[in-house]
Amino acid sequence: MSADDHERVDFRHQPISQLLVKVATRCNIDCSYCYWFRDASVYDKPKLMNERVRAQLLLRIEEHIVKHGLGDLPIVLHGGEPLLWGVENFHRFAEGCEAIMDRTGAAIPISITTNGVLVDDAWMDCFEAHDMSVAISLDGPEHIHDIHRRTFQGTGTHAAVARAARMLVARNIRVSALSVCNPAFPPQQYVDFFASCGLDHYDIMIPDATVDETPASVAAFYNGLFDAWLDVNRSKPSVDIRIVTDMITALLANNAPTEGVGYQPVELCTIMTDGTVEPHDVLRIAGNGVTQTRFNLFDHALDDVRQEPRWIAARDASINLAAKCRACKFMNACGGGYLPHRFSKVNGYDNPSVYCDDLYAMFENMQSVLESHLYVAKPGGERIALRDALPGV
Amino acid sequence: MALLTLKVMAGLLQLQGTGAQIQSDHQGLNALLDDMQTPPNKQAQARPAEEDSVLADKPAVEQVYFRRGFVRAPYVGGFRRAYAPGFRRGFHRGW
Repeated sequence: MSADDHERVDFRHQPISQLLVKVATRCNIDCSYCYWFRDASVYDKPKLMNERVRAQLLLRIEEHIVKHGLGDLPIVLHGGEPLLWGVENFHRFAEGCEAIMDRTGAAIPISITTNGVLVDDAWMDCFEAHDMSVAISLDGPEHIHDIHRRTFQGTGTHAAVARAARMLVARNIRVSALSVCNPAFPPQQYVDFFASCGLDHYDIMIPDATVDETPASVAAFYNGLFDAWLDVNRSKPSVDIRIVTDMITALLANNAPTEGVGYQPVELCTIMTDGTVEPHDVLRIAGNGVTQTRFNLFDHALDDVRQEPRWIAARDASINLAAKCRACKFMNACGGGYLPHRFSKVNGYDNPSVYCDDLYAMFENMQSVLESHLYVAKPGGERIALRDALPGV
Repeated sequence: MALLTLKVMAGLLQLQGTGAQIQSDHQGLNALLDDMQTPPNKQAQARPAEEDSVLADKPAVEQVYFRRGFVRAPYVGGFRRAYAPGFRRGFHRGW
């Protein structure tokens, strides 16, 4: 299904509004489920972004902000493991962004997604000095985390990562945790662990898989996670579990703020270490070279990527849903699932998510629970339960 | 029962008369309802409840934000308003 013409024109005329910058293509640990190294073409790229590419990127960022009059352009520094780029490079890049902010008046918030192993005082000084926010990959408690997130020598990384998370919290640096769900364990174990670390913003993502695979069911895990979210936020909104709040928002408001949930075009722009520009980096899950383009920062302005055929194909795939999705009552809330989870070798992205049955069960459960929690409050103090107020609607 | 969306609830409120509001005893849900009903350009500002507007029942086709990176402003007490303001979508309400 395509969005109607009016809506398509609207978003097609929007400039690129965020950048995912790969400052390092390699990693210092060896996670078994990593999407990034499922595409061996990543080894053809330079290990680190060099000074020439960094300078050109800053030039293109300023040009883009000025040309489109942007008030802000968020940037996520990513990898591989981005901290391999080195703390001095982070300082120089952030200083370059700050100079652009001074000249243009635009905000350039910088976020880093890291495995946390290298975080030390020098890094925290850097995050603090440049007001960077940090997403740390942490799969909950040790017995879950260390199943997949191990060093090249095969040892677990949990102790180092949990220590980094606690240090970031203690320094009051804006830190969030990114987990991958392991449905073999109760969600409460994740929730309790993050609470023990003082982390109040985190996501527990559905494991990456294509339609050609048969991943374990995740519905029971996420229904339990929703229950845990309800428990912990009952008297005060204190813990944000992103996938839960995104699903509630998607269900109630017919949209969602991030690409994992909901019916929205995915217009991610990924800058590689050599200055080439690619579509959504998680599409590497589909195999070797699928995200490669001939587009690069030296010959093209940032927004020119919107004319690149592979980038357009990825964007269009995100809003052109399979027939089963178009007929589903949760189409707008679900959006067919996360785009990489719709890929198959036979049909490309013309599939419901490999987690379709799970997503349906999760939204069905969530809707039922939400109906029981909401009511109509009338000025005179009368309360009408939503279920009673909506009979037969 | 119809799919629970804010548009359905808006219709319900019209039926219930002036001043009716959708609420919850669950404070986490109440915070999300507030954020969803707040126009994006007002999300970073304190705002009286009367300014709430109802979102469309169609998906707004706008850009969304990368789920593997979190950019957000200092936590200020709610959910969505915890994030950096000014973006069309996602970073002021997402991560």
